[in-house]
Amino acid sequence: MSFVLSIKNAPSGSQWWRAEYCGGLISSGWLGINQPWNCPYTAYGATDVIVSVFDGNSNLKYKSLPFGPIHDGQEYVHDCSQSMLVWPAEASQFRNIVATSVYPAQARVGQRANVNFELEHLGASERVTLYASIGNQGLWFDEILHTEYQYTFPEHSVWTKQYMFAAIDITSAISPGLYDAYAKIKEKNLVSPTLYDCLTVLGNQAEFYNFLISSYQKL
Amino acid sequence: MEIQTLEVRPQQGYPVYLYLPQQTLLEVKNGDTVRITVSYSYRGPAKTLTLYGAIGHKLVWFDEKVNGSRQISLPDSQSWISRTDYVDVLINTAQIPAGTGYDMYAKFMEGSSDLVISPELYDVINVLAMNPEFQNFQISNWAKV
Repeated sequence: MSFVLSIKNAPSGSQWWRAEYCGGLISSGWLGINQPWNCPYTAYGATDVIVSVFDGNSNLKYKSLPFGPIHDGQEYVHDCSQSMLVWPAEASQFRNIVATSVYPAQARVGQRANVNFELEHLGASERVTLYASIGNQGLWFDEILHTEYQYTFPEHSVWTKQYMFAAIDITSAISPGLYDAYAKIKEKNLVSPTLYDCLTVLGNQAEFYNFLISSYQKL
Repeated sequence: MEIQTLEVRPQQGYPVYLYLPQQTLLEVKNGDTVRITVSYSYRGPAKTLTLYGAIGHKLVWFDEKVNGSRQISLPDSQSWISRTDYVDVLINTAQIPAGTGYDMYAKFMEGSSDLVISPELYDVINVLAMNPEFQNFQISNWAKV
């Protein structure tokens, strides 16, 4: 293998792609849309690489202008949306996850509270499981309610702050009181600091205060 | 001492005997209606409750003579809201004999359960008898006719 070429941002409906250079003498053959071409031939510093993308019926969806140069031992990505060669994204990384608030700060059984949190992402697009929980922080976090969902972060070339939330249904599993929350990325074991006293679960009973007879009269 | 939570409550009302300028004594007779108005703060889910008012005598417990009730729909509110509502009580002398110094109270009920009960107001209702009554009966003059 001399170099690796893959594509991204192909038009919707694309299923196959191929690349060729040296005037078409060297070809990748048909490749799945997400399959990289591990080219076994020397790159020759070619500047006439052409990428073609097809749908499932072999209809041409996209064809690039000749690009290059390409060299042995390198990894390349052709961005179909910009018709240009880009460097492959760095490996996906996350950092600085922080639970910022719970909204609403007061909720009853039957309502839903959003755990708002933020984190920073760098690198390639990645699908991860976001998880948030409401409970009580003691020696460890005693989880009472939680939720999780899958989310795909897009590619980011620099550290980029992402504002997220996780909606948790307030069920009868939790008693009226004051609670803490946290959020995490399950696969990364990246856990936010605990956000203390951020949610008051209200009882479902009616509460009265200062109930007085204020006046009376004969009609 | 460590303060863990602070709750903002609605302003405390003055005790009844202070903020009612005078506990007006109502004189009523059979067939009259007494309207009892209550003020309060509410927090909780939307509920339809029974506002109940009664007139009688407070002894060890409240000996009710007549009462009235009315359905009140309370809105969902996570913060305290101030409200006033009323309930009418019909005076029926078959149930409340003529007499003086009757007391009253009001409460909210859910089903047969009392949710909140007001302080009693004492000596606020006199029930007049239906039989003829005379006062200050005297000879005021005499003459030949």
